[in-house]
Amino acid sequence: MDPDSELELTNSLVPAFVLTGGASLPTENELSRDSLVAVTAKGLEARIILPEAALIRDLLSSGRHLPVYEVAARIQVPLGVGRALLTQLCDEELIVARPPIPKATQADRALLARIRAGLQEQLGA
Amino acid sequence: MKVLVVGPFGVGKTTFISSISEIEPLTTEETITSLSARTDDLSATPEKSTTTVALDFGRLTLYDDLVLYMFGTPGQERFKELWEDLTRGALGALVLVDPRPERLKQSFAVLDLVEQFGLAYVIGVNHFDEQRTYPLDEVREALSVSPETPVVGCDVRDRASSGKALITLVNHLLSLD
Repeated sequence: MDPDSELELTNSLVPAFVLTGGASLPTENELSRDSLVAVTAKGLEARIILPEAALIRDLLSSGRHLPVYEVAARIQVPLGVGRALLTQLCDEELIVARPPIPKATQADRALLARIRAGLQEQLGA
Repeated sequence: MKVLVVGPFGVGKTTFISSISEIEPLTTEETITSLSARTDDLSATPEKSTTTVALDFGRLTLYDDLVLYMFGTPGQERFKELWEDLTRGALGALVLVDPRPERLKQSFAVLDLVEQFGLAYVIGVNHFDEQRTYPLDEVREALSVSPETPVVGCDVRDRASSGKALITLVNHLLSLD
């Protein structure tokens, strides 16, 4: 029998807070909603027990950075729960967080021009 | 990079994002403690007042090192805390409106918020009515937005048309300097 199947404790009857493994919500400063996260080498190898944490690891295993929003949406937990889980994984160094989606300044014309060119290329508009 | 797609419920935000996004648009939710004069008392109140707001999310990779994230959210005063987070660092907003006279007024609250947060924005007039089109000038006048603010028609079901609205936003940002 697959030992992991015993860990399938999650269904719609389990309140959302159970998913965080008892961790409380992170403070505003820890991981913002649009921080970008990626899995670490340690995270790839670690044996992860909490099913949602394992889902996060699988989601990030391609090596891509994803924003906290997207992780929460994909593992189908509310954002607050996603942030709590991710903060916990960060503390355990299983994932790393990059600063939020970088701020655009109005002066950044080169970037805007690049975005415009990219949109035209991608969308044929 | 981040852009916001805002507008009242049912205006086509999710459809817009799904037209542009390279992934199926994702919907997540955020629970927000409602702000009220009694906020300080809430810890002692058993029926703590919270509300859930849906957020649509999509992304489009423009280049290897440049990804556009799209966030769709309804604009309601009570979700201001979320707006603060969403608007931080955002390039600007596309405000989708439904031009039918009875629906247009639903956009006022969103426009108020966008202006309050100092976001650069363009108005995207979604094509709702097969029977008639609404002249963009009339929509502009009805919304009383400034003459510098672009108002574009767009069909959110169409990728190129939605893309044009986004490019209008970028062009507008480029013209602001």
